[in-house]
Amino acid sequence: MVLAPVVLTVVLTGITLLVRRLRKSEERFRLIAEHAHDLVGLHDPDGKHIWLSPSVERVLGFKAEEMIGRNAYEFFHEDDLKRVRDTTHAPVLEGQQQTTTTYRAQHKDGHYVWLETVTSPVFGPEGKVARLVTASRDVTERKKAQDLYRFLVRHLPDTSVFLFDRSFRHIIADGSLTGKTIPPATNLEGRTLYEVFPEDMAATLEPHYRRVFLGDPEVVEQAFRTRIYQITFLPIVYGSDMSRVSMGMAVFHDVTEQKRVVQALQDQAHDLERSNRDLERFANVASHELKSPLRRIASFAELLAEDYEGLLDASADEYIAEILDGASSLAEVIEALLQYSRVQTDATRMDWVDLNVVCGEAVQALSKNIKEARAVIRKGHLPTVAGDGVLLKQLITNLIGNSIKFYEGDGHPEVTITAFRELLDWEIAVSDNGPGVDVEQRRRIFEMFKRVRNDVEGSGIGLALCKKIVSIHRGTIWVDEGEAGGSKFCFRLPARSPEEVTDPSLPSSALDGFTHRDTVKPPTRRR
Amino acid sequence: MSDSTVEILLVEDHAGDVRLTQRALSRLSFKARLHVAVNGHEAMEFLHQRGKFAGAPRPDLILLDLNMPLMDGRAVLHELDGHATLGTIPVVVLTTSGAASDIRDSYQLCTNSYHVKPNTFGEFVTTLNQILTYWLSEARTP
Repeated sequence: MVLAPVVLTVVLTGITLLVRRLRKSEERFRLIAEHAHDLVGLHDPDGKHIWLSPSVERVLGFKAEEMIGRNAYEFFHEDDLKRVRDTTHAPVLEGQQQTTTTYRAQHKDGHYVWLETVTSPVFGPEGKVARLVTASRDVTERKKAQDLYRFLVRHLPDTSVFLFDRSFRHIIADGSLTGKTIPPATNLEGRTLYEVFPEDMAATLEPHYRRVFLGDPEVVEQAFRTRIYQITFLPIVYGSDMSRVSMGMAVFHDVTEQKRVVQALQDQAHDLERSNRDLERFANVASHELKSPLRRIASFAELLAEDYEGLLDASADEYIAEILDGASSLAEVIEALLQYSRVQTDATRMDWVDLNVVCGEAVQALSKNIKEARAVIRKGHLPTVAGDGVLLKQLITNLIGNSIKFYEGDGHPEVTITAFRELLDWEIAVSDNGPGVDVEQRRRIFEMFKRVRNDVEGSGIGLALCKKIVSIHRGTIWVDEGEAGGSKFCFRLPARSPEEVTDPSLPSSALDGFTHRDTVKPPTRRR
Repeated sequence: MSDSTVEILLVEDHAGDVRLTQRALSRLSFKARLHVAVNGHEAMEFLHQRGKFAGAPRPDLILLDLNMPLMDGRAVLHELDGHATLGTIPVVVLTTSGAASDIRDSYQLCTNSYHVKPNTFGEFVTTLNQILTYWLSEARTP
């Protein structure tokens, strides 16, 4: 009995405290809501506004009183209505604790504001949802930045960028691949790896998604279906906690076409190399196999002539002479073929070559011809190029020698060697005051045994050799009309280092002359 | 050596070339006897005086073709290179091939000199004369 009032007092005191605490918390809520920067709202289950924090005026231009009693949906952009209802409103009514969505709401002055709203249910006494509490934030600026980001990544060629969290849920995903060879952004965002990718693809990606959170970046190449992707995984440290990886980033780059092009180029280069090697070997072997019997034909014809001259009739002597003449011509052709097939270099002979020196050596080698023809050789300043000095000397000797050989005026041959830099190449020109080369002959003269004139002696191999030498140096050669009439033989050599000239992965200006005659560069520019 | 007949071993598979060498030699003023082996195998038989070459003389000079069936000139050079007695016989390569690799390989195998067969008989006589003059009259050999 004595205890009863005490118990009552305690109980009453407890209730008083509870009520006070409740009031206090209600006040606190109101205090927070009243001063909240974000827009806080209380809705009935249909979405009708029951109460709104004063910040609504700052966010949407309306005073709270103007909106209370009206349904939130009245203010939404019509394109967003269904999505908000389906992804935010309905799940909460069905018991989900919290949903987040981003949508557009119309400002009092007519423009739309992007809001990010978190919706939570308040349950009534019967356990049914009685109220909805929303907290909304103006994310227009963020949305603009995101749009800019999307614009950016959508225009990256063959690339898509994903950001994902620790549960492998995609936070943002966009790019030029999404919606094409990769699921579209609308499917990816908010969904996990396994929800959006086919099972095999997800299983392949998962270890990488996982490893990103260990902090190590990774680049992998992965084929999915018919495409090949280079995927870069990057750990992202972002936000308040700088000590841990908060997000993973995956950059998908579709390299299928690149791979195909590279493969095709490699195949082509390989085929070309093999066919050139075969041709060279063929030319070499064939020449040797021809030389031996030819030598016997010529030698025995010679013996026949020596032993039986005058003993047979005149025709016989004539026939023997024809045999010897034919054998001698054939021997020249074989020698030319052999010479052509032997023009090759190996990487060890590639070095820096001063063309001034090479030109001097060429003039030295031609000193007899120059003296006989009273030729004048002029030389501008020539560059130092990467090349095979022996072959380049042969090239320049052939060109100067041709200019002297084909001169047909009453004066004396004049040959000028000049050079200038053209973008990534050196262009060297050998001009003369000779008869020049007819336009229709200009391509043909670089072919084997295509002799322009019959009255001048030669094997018909000189310019073919020149072309081959230039090709070995990954350059191009052609003939133009000289400024003062005559011909102007030009060749371009890449302005590269010796290592680069022999690097098969770098493109050359021309392909080998023996198999690809059509790559002789037509004159592109007249000065 | 100058007053006695010199023994020359010609290793050559083609009868025409043998004939030409004989003709060329007959034009020159060397007192020489030309022995013929048609491939490397026969050449080794000759040098070792085996089989049908039992009793063959030790040659003063070997004229060796490179490209032959059965056993080619390179194989002969290989066998002679470093051989205690046969290795001291001068070997002159006389071949159609002017390929840099053939020339290099031959000298690496200790050939004494290398000559490309000329295209005409006249030139061949000159070349043979130079070879024989040098190796049989001027150079001193063991």
